[in-house]
Amino acid sequence: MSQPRTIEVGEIAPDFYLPDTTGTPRRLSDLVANGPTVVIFYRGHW
Amino acid sequence: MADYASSYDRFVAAGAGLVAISVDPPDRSAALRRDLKIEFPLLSDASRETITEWGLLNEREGAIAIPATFLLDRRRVVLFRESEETMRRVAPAEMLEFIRVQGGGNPQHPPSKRTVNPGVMFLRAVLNGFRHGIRVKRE
Repeated sequence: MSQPRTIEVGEIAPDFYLPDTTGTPRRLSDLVANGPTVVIFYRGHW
Repeated sequence: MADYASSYDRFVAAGAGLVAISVDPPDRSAALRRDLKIEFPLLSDASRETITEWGLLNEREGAIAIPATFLLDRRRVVLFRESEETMRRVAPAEMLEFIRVQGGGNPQHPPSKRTVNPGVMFLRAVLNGFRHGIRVKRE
């Protein structure tokens, strides 16, 4: 079984297009356009 | 994530943005956003497509996201990353200091060339070393 490939420092993070809490899709490349952006992945309640 | 929620104003002041992602559906994220008074977007990756692409799929525990924190510049280049289930998340104050050293989001003070800035390299090494263990290989 191969280790999942993680995104490393210096690489370009893959863009995404995901709905926010109102259901409105948000694109990562738009979110970062205004300045450095912290992207947090959290476990959630699922 | 509550600590990032309460530090949101300081990130805005630093010219930086915040966004958080989980596999939770939008209505569940909306409840969390309300409860924690989160002012930045909470996004739903119900299909797991993004967390898989980013190498953060935790299949052992119901295909949820492995907790991880990234700092991206305007071109989506990763300036900092940590992903570790057992360790605490990098604190907002540390992240803010990192953003400040990088030059923040202020176009009047663009980031200096990282390759010739020992301060940035040192801080990056310390932060990443702390999260992932010190690597022998030098950059």
